[in-house]
Amino acid sequence: MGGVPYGRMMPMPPTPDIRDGLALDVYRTQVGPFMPYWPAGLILEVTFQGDVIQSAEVVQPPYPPRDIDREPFDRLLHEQTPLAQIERTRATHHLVCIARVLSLVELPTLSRQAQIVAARIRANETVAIGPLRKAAARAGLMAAIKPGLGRIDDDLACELGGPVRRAAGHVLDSRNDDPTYTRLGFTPVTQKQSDCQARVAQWFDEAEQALALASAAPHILIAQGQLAEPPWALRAPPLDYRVTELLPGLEWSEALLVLNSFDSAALCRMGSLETP
Amino acid sequence: MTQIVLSAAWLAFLFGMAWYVALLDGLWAAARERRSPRAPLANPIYRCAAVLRQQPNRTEAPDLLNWRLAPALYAGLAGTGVALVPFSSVSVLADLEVGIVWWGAVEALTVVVVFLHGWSANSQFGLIGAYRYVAIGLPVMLISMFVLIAAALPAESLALPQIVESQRGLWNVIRQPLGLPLFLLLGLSLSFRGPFNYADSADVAGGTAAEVSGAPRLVWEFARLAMLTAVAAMAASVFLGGYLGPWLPGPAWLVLKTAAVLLVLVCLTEQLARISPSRMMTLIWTVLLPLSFVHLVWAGVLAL
Repeated sequence: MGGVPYGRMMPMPPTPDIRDGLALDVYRTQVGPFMPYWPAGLILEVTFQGDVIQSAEVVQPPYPPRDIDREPFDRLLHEQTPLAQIERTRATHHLVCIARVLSLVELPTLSRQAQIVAARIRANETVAIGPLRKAAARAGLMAAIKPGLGRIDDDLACELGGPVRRAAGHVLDSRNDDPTYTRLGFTPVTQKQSDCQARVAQWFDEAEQALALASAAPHILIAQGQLAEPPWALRAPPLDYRVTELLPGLEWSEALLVLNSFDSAALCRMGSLETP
Repeated sequence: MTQIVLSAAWLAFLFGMAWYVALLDGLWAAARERRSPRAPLANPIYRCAAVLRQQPNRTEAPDLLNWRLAPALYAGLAGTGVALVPFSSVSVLADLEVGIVWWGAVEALTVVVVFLHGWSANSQFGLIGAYRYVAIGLPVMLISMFVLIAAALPAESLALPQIVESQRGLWNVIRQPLGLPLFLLLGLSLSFRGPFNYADSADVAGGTAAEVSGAPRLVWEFARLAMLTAVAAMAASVFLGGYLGPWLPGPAWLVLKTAAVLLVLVCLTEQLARISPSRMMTLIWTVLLPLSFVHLVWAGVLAL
């Protein structure tokens, strides 16, 4: 680290850099629990060479997703809920996730636009996501995310569920079995690659589809007790697979893109300590 | 007396153009958010006041001298760059025989100063930003040098006034079409904006400026705008004929051309996503740098 290092020497690495063989100073530092575009509460002990992560270890797991975000999905367990409200919440959630990714590729004004669109959807205004998506495509959002970055295997994608699973190409969505959605001609959208690009594309596709469903059925109610597919990963006990396994060898900017391509529920399941 | 007037013009140009870029940034954001801009002309001033009112920050065991000096040095380098630019055939604050070489030194020292700014804060994100800036800044500087040497060939001089005068018949942007686009990349890199923001980006919580607040922060942000201004003024002089033009006085043409280049730079900032540092390095070393060398050879053949 820079500054006045208390008289200690800068240690040179015992082994070459794991990516290109270039030896740089190794330093270990704790990252978190709070910083922009970082899972709230997560503390990682990271070993860097330059800006490349050599290893990472969870010191403190991320905070669980906020209960307030589970509205109206929790309410559906007890009372009838408008389909439009469910789908608008889905679109809002995905747009907030997209806004974070846009900021990370240095498109702050587009990120702000995504947040504004999300706020307008939350306020029941009629908004189209198409212009935002086109602007992001023109700015090179997908080109800025390296193909294959943050790819996870099928088993992990299935374990995590939700949009992460559909981004891996699995047509699994509880709305498939709901007669209301079937009447509206609902078919789950999927991607194939199961990487960061695929997960961002999945958010865009699902947000657009959610708004289309909301406008097609503005007054339809979903019966209480129905299982509505939430916009996030399955909320279940922590997995054996840890987020730290995704990070070694990545540059810091890539690591943050990988972390932000998962929703908070998925990160919570992958961010546990060694002995959950 | 002339030196006093030139110095006043130099200061007005630096501050005026920095304000203009801040204004453009504000207008762009308002247009993107589909709202009317809030006090667009005065907003940059309000932002300056807001930054000045921030509580000054201090990290644990920083290299305080370098940390405090870096913003001032960066602003000084930007000012040096603008001083090289001729406002008319007889009005140039620093009329050097080797103006292009001096500008090369400004570019090289900028890399040093930005690294110092990130390193001396004793903060992990400042250091990551500094590392990344050096990795990207050095090869971009090489591109700039090839491009500027190519522009000096028709003038047979390294002095900026001679390079401007050599464009009386034909601007370099026509004669050497690759030069201006390649040089604009340098502008984004030297002031780390948009697709070239590796030093102070969101993913490192502000990078080299992550720990900076108050007056040093204001100087740092001003220096970034001033450096962009210096690059735009240099581009206007080297590729767009500088002060040359009909009807209007020379300084007016320089201001107009610089403003136009700044508008393009702001558009590029807002319109292009940033790729990862390693992919950018690959792009620079395998595509842009060879392209700039081909450009230099082309300019050399034309100059024969």
